[in-house]
Amino acid sequence: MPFLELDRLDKSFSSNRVLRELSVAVEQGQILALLGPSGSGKTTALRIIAGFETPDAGHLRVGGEDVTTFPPARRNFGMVFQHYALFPHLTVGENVAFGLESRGKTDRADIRRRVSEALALVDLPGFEGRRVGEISGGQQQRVALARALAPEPRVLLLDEPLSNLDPTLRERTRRELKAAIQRVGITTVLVTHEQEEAFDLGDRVAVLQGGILHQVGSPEDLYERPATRFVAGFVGRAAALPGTFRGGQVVLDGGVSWPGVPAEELAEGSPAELVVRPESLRFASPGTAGALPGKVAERRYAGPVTYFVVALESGREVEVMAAPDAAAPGDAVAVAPGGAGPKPRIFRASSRGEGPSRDVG
Amino acid sequence: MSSRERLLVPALLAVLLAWLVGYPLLITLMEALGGPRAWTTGHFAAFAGRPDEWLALWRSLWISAASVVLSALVGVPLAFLFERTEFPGRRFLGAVAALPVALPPLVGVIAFLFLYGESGFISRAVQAGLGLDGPPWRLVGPGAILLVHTYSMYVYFYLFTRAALARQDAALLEAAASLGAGRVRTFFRVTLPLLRPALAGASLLTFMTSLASFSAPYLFGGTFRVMTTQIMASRLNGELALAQVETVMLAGLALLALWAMRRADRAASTGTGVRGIAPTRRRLRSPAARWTAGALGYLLAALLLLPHAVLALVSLVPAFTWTAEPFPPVLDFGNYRALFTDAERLRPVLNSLWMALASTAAALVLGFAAARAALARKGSLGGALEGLLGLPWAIPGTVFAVALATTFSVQQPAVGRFVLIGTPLILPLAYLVRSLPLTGRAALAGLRGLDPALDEAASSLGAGRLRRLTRVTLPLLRPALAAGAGLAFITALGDFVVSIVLYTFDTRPISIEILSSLRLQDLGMAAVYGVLLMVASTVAFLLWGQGDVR
Repeated sequence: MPFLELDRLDKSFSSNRVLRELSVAVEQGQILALLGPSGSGKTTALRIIAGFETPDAGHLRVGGEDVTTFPPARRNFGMVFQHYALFPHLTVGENVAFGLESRGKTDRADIRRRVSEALALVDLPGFEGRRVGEISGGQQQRVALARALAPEPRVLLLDEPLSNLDPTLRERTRRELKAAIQRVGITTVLVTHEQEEAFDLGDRVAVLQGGILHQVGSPEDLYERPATRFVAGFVGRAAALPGTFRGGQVVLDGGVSWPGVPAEELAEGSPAELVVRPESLRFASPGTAGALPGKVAERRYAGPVTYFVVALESGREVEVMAAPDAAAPGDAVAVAPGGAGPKPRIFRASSRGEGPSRDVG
Repeated sequence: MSSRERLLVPALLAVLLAWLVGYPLLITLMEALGGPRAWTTGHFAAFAGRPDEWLALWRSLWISAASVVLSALVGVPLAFLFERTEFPGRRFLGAVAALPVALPPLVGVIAFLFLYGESGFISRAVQAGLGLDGPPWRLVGPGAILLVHTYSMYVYFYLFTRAALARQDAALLEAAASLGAGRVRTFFRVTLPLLRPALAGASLLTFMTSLASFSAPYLFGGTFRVMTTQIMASRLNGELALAQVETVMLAGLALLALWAMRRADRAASTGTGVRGIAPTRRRLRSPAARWTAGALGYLLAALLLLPHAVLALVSLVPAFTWTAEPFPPVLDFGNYRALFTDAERLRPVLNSLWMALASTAAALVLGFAAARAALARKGSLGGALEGLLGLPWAIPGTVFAVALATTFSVQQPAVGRFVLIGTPLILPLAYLVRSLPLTGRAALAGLRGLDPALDEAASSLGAGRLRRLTRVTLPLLRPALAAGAGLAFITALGDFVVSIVLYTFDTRPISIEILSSLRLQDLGMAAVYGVLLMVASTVAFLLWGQGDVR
């Protein structure tokens, strides 16, 4: 039985329905990342778990207990806020002790011991007397984590925990955060709009968009086997090529057929889209059978690999990952399926006019 | 909190505030119309038929407008001098230049009387110096009123402009310069337009303060009556109905002025939302310029501190020992001794202290509770609470005094009217009403600036409502609340305009005692009370009043 269970949660603000029957479950000790663009409902979901919002319908269960109507103070969850929300009038030690005192702990020596343990856990031993304003952003983030963990909560909630940090600091803090969570072994839900963060921290990742849950799975599931067209475009780089579904393949505009794995049910002969990642494409010499002709429009050098944007003759653009010297802008090339990447996925043609390619940086 | 409770508390607060703030004004309007027994527009017709009433209205208006212009002419250049140039003594003099606003109006007025009045120090010195038979001038009429207004109100322009200049982004001036604008063009096309919100704010504050001003017209006006003194005169003549009409007219004028200036201001809101780095101060390079600026600064400081100094000096003059001499012949601490040995002299101080403390405490609790309820409940109830909290700021003190006197002079508990006139309750109640905007706005600003995540963090850490209030919200709001309460306290402590309408002999406050000491020609004792108020107000102002102006 899952430890934390979101059961068909529904929430609207005035006429805006921000969550639609959201159901996700988290096993004890697992980390679930809620990933989605802004407005996807991920923050609302987290606030409902924390108890700051009440769902219009649905239930929230922890260890089998229905806590949907519990006020935040009774849930015994720890939360790290986006801007940390450290109490500026209290010292680091007093901040960490706040939750212990709230929960009725009065033994000063015991509180002191637990505070120093919590600070040691986040690698800030001896910081009790510091003022919140005089420590760095990365240290504030860790104090916020220590404060959330000190009362030994049942669930840890993280709201965009790294968004407030410098890019240089982010990767290190992410590693430390993951290590601290794993040491405690606490069931965790985190919200992020950064795919890298979700993949790195989450045991499982739930992708939300417009209040709808698109897919829950391991990072590998999401990247290699996206369940919906949205996930395919949102997670990682991908290009979409329109065509017709025929014989398990997609017949593209130029008449060539490319293979792929159907991600949803498709009728023979129905309009379809083939979603291809840059590393699943390769350059072929012009005129090769089954390759699409085009012209290199742009070259993006990214160190070990280089991405080439190719304007196909059909008017579409695709991205191809190749060696840095594989082509130059202006070169006439041909693009063919291949390379070491995941198999292209076939979706029903999107009716909502989802752009042909979408980069998420 | 249950949802019923969540509606009940704000609703009860709104009813209480409406009874305190809105109801007396409504009763006054009703009675001015003869209601509820004999509805008539006759009183208004009588008002309209009397030229002296229109004259008083007109004088209130032009005195206020002239106060705005004169205050701007003094305050804005001073702000540039202290914010944009660097010279020896700048920091100290810059702080001194803000002090006049800290003097309670009545205290400023008597200090001017001691300085420039017919038997004031300056007048006597001029008279003796020129060998004149009589005093060189008389401190009376519109000129005298405007002098006092400018002295105390230029500070609004000074502080607002300085704050705005300090916030201005040096990059904007550099951008103008790189686009080929000279100093003059930059000033008129960039600096000045960016100051517009600050100037509009200072103008509004000065205009409303002048319109409500009572001490200066009362003591210096003579036969030159503005609306506030006209109301007092009508009440003194026993023309209560006319006084009510005048009160309604003055309240209407104040609200109209507020509305018009807010409307004009709305078009002017500017700002890129970017808080840049203020330009560095221009160090005056030539020694001559630096010394001139310094000397001018100290001369100005002396001029500004002269009222404070003269109050201290006169407070040392024993009663009836100073007659024709240019300088008082006897100086001792007898007046101060008398204050602490004579129970009747100490009485007004104790009265003012307890009434100011009680009203401030009540205003703090009520203002904080109403501000919290207003922010928690958006929509019409929240808006009503905010409006009621701010209303006493817009309405002149004289109006509220008359309104409270009208409302609480009859015993009709069924409609919320009680006889409070003549009881020790009426003055603290009046002070409370006048304090609400100060504490309420401080609480509103403090609560708005509070990150809601802090409260959520506390509740997710298991803190209940009481613990969140006492351990998180109140400690974080303490500076804002202390500032609001401090200003409310000194305003109540030195209040004259409301007190003169509502005091009883047993609850006479300091200001009324100053007035009676003056009437008895006991200048020394009047000055002692003035010094007390001056010290208390200056301390409060230095602690809480300056905001982030340095």
